[in-house]
Amino acid sequence: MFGFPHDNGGTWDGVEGAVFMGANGGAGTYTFIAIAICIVALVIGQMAEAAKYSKHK
Amino acid sequence: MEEQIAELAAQVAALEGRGALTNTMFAEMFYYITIPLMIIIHAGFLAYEMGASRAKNALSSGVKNILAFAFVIPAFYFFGWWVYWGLPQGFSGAAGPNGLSGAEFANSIAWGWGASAEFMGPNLSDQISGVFWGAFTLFAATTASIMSGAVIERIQTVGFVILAIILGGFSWTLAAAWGWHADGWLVLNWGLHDFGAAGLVHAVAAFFALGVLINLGPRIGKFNADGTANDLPGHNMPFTATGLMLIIVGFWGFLMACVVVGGEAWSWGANFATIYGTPITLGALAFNILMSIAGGIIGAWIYTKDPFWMMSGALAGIISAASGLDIYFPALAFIVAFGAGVILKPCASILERMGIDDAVGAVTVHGTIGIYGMLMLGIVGSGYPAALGEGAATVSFVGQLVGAVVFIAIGLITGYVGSLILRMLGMLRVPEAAEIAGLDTVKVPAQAYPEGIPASAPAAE
Repeated sequence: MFGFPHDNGGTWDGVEGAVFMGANGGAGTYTFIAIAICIVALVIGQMAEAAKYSKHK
Repeated sequence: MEEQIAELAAQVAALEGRGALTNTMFAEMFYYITIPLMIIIHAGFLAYEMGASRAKNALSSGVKNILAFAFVIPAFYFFGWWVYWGLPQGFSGAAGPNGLSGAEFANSIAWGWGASAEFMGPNLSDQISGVFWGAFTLFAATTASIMSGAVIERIQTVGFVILAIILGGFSWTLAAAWGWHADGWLVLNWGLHDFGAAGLVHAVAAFFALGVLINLGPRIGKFNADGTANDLPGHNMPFTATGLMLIIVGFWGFLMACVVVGGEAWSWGANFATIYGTPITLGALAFNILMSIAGGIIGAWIYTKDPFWMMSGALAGIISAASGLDIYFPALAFIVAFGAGVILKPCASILERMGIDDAVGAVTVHGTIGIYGMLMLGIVGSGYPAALGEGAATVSFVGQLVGAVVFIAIGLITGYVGSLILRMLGMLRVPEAAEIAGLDTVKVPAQAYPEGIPASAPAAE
């Protein structure tokens, strides 16, 4: 999941294709964590907003 | 002799390699540049909306707009890109005849997990997916901003963000899959031509907004008991007019991104093409965008003399000609845009008389005019081949009308149903007391004008 995804002696020589962290496995984990962050942010945001509105009913 | 020929062949091969690399880098740069240009659209919408809000809501309108931008981007990454590639042939997810669509194809390139993640992140062998995705993402964010202005001063922030995710991640993307894709069924079966997205971006977003407005209701004080409307002017007309001009600047990037660069494996040929594969030049855009801006401004000026509507007329002018910017004669684009400028304000007034409080005229500018533009192209552009090859469907009024009805339905239904559910959950409209107090006071920990707007200090001697 972390670090350089190519097993070729720690060099850029000959590297092709995907070069992102997680290219050798784990990209999906990052994606699902990012999705979860968005959902949690909306839930927390809604709770905070509702608390503000409760003072102006 | 043989050695010389071999050397020459090697030099030719090297030159071809360099030429191909240059073309690839040009293609990557072409779409990359459209992204910051389209972000200018959002700077414009931000200024436009904040200026069109009353001072008590200026910052909350800005917060809403900024958050829409922030949430639509990941939403389009998570699932919007898949919708575009997966559903051109309809909800069945079937593959189209060009081999560029269908659920199986989308599964292989558009998810941020599994093998397809290879195309959804930095990849030295793929210099196009990221910038192409980026350009499409900015189209998605634009739809959310179009809706955003209509609903200012009374919508809840998170409820609005959820609607923006639905619109930017799904509604417009579905319209684009059907009508802005070489495998789209509206293109293949009906000859739909909407080069600059008058219908599939502008009209879809505007009718989505209309669906939301029906459930959201007007701002307090907008309508009197007898149904007559009151003007609720924004607090900063110069800010609004400047924002509109920024939107127009950004639309050069938007329309640039509607062009497919030539010479790559994914291109339609050696030269520029529309997204349908039909030929286009950037010269066509220069001619017709400028002439349509002028036509829209003059049309709106003739009718209103109002700078807000004149700048809206400029935007309406571009939108009215957008479907056929690739094929209009410039004077014809001017005429169509002039018509859009003239009908703009009356159409907005009709909507208002129907009890719809569209705070910035978004439904009219983007929706009514978007549909007007699609239909005008059906009249004056009838007979143009809508795609490449023998037997391609041709542009027709009926085809444009079918496309317009589909786009209206996608926008209206998803906007109405989404906002209805939010209303039932109590997440759509702010409480009455909060609306009266002003949303900045209620929920924004900052002041738009902490010193008021005092007269300037005296000038130096």
